[in-house]
Amino acid sequence: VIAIDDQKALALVLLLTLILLLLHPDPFWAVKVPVTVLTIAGFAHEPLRRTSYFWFVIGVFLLAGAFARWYTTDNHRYLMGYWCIALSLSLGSTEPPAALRNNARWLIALCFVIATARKLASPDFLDGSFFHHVLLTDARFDKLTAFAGVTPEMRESNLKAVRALVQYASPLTSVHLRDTTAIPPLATALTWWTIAIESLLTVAFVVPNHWPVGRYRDLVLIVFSATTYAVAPVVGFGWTLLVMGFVQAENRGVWLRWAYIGAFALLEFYLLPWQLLIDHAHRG
Amino acid sequence: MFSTVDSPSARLLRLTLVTADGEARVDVPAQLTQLAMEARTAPTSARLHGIATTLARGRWVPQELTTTVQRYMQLAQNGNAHQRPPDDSLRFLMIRLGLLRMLSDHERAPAPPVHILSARVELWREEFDAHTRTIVVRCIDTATASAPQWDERK
Repeated sequence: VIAIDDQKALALVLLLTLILLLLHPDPFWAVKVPVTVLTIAGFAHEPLRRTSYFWFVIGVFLLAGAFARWYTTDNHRYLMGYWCIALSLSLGSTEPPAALRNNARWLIALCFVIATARKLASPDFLDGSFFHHVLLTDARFDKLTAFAGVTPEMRESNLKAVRALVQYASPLTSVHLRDTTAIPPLATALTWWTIAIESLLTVAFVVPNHWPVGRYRDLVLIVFSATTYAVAPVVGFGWTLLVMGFVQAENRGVWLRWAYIGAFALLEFYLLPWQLLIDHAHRG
Repeated sequence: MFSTVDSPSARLLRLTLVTADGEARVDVPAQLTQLAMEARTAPTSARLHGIATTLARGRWVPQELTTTVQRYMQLAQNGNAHQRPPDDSLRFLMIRLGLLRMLSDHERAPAPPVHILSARVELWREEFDAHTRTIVVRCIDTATASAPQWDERK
């Protein structure tokens, strides 16, 4: 296996970030159009993508778009903007690979410090209500709830209930949702798995590199991505974390950076229409 | 941040116009989409009051009930797609059902505007009771604005 050293990792992370920007663009036209044009230019001309200014301009577009539409911006849009600014600052430093590793590591650490703190401070997350609610109302979890016995009729009934409640002229103040006996334990399992893996990630990225848990931070991040985005396919978020994970991984193992590249592919693989393929296979 | 039921998508606005013919619940007009999303994401009394004021100052008319073919025929014949205003009984029914549309600033009214007395905006928040599998909504803030004098608006 060919090891990916820091110089190769730097060259690759620039390409991976460009791919991220192309595959998961900000939907806002004022961001999407200029960033796509810049991204194509970055692909075409290597010296351009190695300049600090190039990433600074992309970062400014991403962040300006995110802040201008703050009332509808997804969290990971901010993270993508911060990441491009981090690339810019690192490329402008005297030792880009080391600066990039540091920035990537601390961006991931900050992400999970805040995410874990917010979850631990939220009573309806801790008692499982949040995941119970999400499993019954968020279509992104349909594949998972199908395994827990939720039928298309139940989903339809829940969808109609929520629509009836939020319809502008609705006089309703409550609606009842339908589930199966497997949903509450599934919600509890998801709650505690999320708290466990995000807490572990927080500790792993905050403690010094030589601490035992610090040495396994990459493994924890890859497991987190492989499990979380299998269930909730917010692939743009997953890719952003993996890009940062890839570059901060150093040379802790020959396989490590290849494992990150495998994880990128895995996240895209999750987007296949699995239910359709399974149904098709059953029909023969 | 994927950590609580309380999120912008779990907050809703209920808009009520108080008219001379009674109260009418209306959908968020296109002109207020952004302000409504802001109010759901970061609710403040000022934002709710801003929405209520705009609703109360707006000119509201019954929605036009027509098919695509009828609309085409009217455009082909007259060059404008406005249909005949609804008669009084239908107009009254449409007001009560909240089937009203807020005109944009310079839009010509296709029918006499509805007499608005005031507007009320309520912000409701969803809560989920996992034991009973019930989503409950509770009103957490309200803002009301009176309409300008009818003569002033005309």
